[in-house]
Amino acid sequence: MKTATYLLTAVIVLVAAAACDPIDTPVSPKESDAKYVGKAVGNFTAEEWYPGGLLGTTDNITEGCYEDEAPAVSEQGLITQFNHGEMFFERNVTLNTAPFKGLGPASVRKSCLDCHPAYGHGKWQATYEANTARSFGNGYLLVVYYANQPGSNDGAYVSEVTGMPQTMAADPFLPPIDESGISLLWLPVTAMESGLPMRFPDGEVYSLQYPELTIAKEAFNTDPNPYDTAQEKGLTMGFRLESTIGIIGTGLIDALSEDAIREQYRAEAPYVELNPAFWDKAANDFAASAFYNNWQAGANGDGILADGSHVARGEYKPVKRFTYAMTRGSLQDGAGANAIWNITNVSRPDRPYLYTTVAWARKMSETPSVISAIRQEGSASPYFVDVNKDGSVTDDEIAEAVFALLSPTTNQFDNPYHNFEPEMTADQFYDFMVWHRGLSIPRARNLHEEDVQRGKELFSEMGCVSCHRPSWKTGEDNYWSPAMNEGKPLPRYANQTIWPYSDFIQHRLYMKNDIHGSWCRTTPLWGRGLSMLNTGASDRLHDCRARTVVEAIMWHAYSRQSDAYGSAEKFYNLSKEDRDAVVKFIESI
Amino acid sequence: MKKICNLLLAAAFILSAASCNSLDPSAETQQDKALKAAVEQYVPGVIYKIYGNLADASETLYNQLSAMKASGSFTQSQIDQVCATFLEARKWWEQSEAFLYGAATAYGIDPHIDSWPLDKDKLAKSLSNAETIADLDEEGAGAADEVGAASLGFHGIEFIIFRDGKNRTAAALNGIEDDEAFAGRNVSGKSEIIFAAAVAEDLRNYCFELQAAWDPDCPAQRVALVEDELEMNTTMDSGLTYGENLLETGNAGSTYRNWPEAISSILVAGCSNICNEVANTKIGTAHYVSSSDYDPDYIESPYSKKSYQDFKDNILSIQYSLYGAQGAVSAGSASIAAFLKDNKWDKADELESALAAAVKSLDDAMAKGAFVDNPTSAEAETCIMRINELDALLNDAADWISKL
Repeated sequence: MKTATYLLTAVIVLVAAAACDPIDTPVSPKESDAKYVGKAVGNFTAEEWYPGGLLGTTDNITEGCYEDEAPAVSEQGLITQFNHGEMFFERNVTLNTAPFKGLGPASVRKSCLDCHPAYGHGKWQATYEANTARSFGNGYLLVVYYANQPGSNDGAYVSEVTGMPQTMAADPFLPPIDESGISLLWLPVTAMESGLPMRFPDGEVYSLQYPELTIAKEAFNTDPNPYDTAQEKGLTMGFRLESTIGIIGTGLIDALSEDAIREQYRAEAPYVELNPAFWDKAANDFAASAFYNNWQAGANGDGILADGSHVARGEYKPVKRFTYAMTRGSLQDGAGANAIWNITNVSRPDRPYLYTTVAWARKMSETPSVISAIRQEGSASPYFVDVNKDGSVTDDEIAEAVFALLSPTTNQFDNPYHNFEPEMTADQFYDFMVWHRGLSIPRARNLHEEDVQRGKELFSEMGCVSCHRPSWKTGEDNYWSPAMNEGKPLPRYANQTIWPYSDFIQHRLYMKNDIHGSWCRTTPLWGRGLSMLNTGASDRLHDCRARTVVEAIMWHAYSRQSDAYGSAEKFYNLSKEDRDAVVKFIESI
Repeated sequence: MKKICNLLLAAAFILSAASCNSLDPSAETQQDKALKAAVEQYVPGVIYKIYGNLADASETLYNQLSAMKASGSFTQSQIDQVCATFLEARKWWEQSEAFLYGAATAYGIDPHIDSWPLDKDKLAKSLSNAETIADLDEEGAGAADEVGAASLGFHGIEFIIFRDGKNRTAAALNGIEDDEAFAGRNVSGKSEIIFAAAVAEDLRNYCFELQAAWDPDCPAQRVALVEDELEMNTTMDSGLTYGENLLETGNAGSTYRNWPEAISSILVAGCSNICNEVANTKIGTAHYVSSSDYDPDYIESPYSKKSYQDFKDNILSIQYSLYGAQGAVSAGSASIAAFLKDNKWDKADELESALAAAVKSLDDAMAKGAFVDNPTSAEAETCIMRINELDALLNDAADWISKL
């Protein structure tokens, strides 16, 4: 790779550019922006061309740019590991062909790429399909919970299926949820709860749609069935969709310091109610539950920091910052590090347990077709176990082995029934982490154009920047990495000025059939304008309900309770020209 | 795929030259015209041509496998004919990989028809299931999901008709599958051909989709099949095909705002992308990563042992893209390569030399044997180096053009 002189050159360019007056010459819209890159233009600084900072931005803005490695990868000599790690993301996982083994016994998808098409956000889907060719682009995860009240967004996840429910299973097992029992309807909004008309003052009409998801009781292959449990609790079943978010630039978010995030909470707390699970208003500091503790018990929860220090589980608790629900604090134990294990069901040395539930294991052990298929396969099946060592295998022994080996508390590599081998090695996982942390953000586009500059001005004036905070500076990036990685280096992004356009704090929009839990992290906007080019789709919001940027913004104004209502109402009242400028700005950053 | 185009270097050049608008407007107009002409030649001459050939060959493959299925027992000449047609279709697919941007990526066609490694355990289970075979026999591609995505596409068919670098024998296909993964499953060659015919139908459908999604003059019968019967995508949100989208650069509806931008996509998203993939993934991973961690099946095209041929066709795909026509061995008058020369890019000759060197490295490697038999060879190392050198120059060319 040819990035050895990249950083130095870039610094020279930025210094030189900073010494010049901003360029504000009107330009033809057909002019390439390449000649302005790295220069201050209008109300943009020279740095804003590089949203991922100098170590985290790719200059490529063509189709496929979401796949690019960050300059940090090349500069740290990690390109071979990056390329190797990429393969695990792109290939279909198979049952038993090394090194892409997994999928058994239950899984959510056959490949990472299904949910992250062309490395982007999931695409809007008319139906939920994971087992067919239509799975490509289906980034939806089903959210199944006991609704506190009928129709409520809130309530605990059901325990009968996994938090990210599986609709795929290897023969002879049945999937925890049979996807033929899933019904997904898209309904039009006929009136905004806020009272805003569904046409702008200049007459242009906008439309909004929202999902209504249901899963039939018969679709659950679990014992007990969650419908019965809900009835016992006096609750109703709730269903929601969550789509995958983009995976680019996540290493840069990992590099933000806890202090910087704390200051952002402090800055917002006087003006807006923040999620008490994350912010203790009285103490003006993080709540105890804002910190992430590795969920893995024992040594598998240990880690090594970038500076080489070893930290036992519980000694390192980063502030949560990843996923809509803000469930993760370190990228290396974040959504991707876990997804390669629990979405495609690939075991590895530090993941010896299955991502399953007792209710599913029990149901499979009680299912006659499962028992008979294992009996027919005989000793070739790992579930055909002579438990009492009497020389014969009864149906009860098969059922016992199925229950044990499918249960989430059974160590797959060390148990009395059948010891499986890890499907992914520690080295392969390390390469996968290099790739994950090494994905770059594409440079900004068209910042020299007057309407983009006007859009930036309006975005700030309307108060959008209160939550979509434009810029951050990364810390020392003393990242955590699983002990299994033995302290081997990952791409590092110390002291980078980045432009993610997010505060990494949760807010509420009060949308119709909103996100489970009602709180949603502000989505970073960087690079999203290249979604259509990369993936062929540009759906937005957590369930892809917004087909355009305008729809996404107007969902912020669906309810007057929305944290963003005031800003979105201002957008509503803009002229067509100014609305277009805001949209173009969002698609350029 | 992973490109650091280093526009920063370009910016440095601009600053040092202190002549941001050094090109006079009339020259720029001439350059735009020349770039437009290159795109207007490239789209039909390379993309439509190759996707058309791919669609034709995949249709023939499906027809031949269907005829085999109907015959019930198989002759060597039938098998040889199918193998030859497979390699023909495979050639067109590999020669299309310098334009995976667009429909192949957006519609997920690339992973769907060209997935590897093959999931042999899953395939063995599927083909030993009488119900699945009956469904494949009756419904063809309509039952393809039953065998799982990692058994579909070129490599699913390749496994059935090739073995150890040779065409399967009539005796083998008229008997019982003896691959280790199929042990004890008693899968007949007849079942395998039923499977192969269904996968070939699925492959044909996706190849038709590719052609229809790019070429507005795709035969109406094919468009009707993919749009009406299969409900596949054939246009972008704008209503344009991907070909029209490129040809309409600068006009409303096109995702390309200017000709340098369109050419950058051809060079970076197209040519450089596959260059990087061939050098650093298809060859590089097998070459550099411990072979003890891998089943040879993860190498592309292991059953026909045509990996190097695949890689060469990938680089030829770049050659045709640069020269403006499928099969071209030198730059056409309206082509990217000619533009670079005519406009005195100082690395234009170097780029052509690097292209020839990359092709030669693959020819040299092929002459020494199959990639799957020796992925760590010195010849493979040379291929990686030559192809990466080509990649760097493709990015330099895009850089240079993007600032015109």
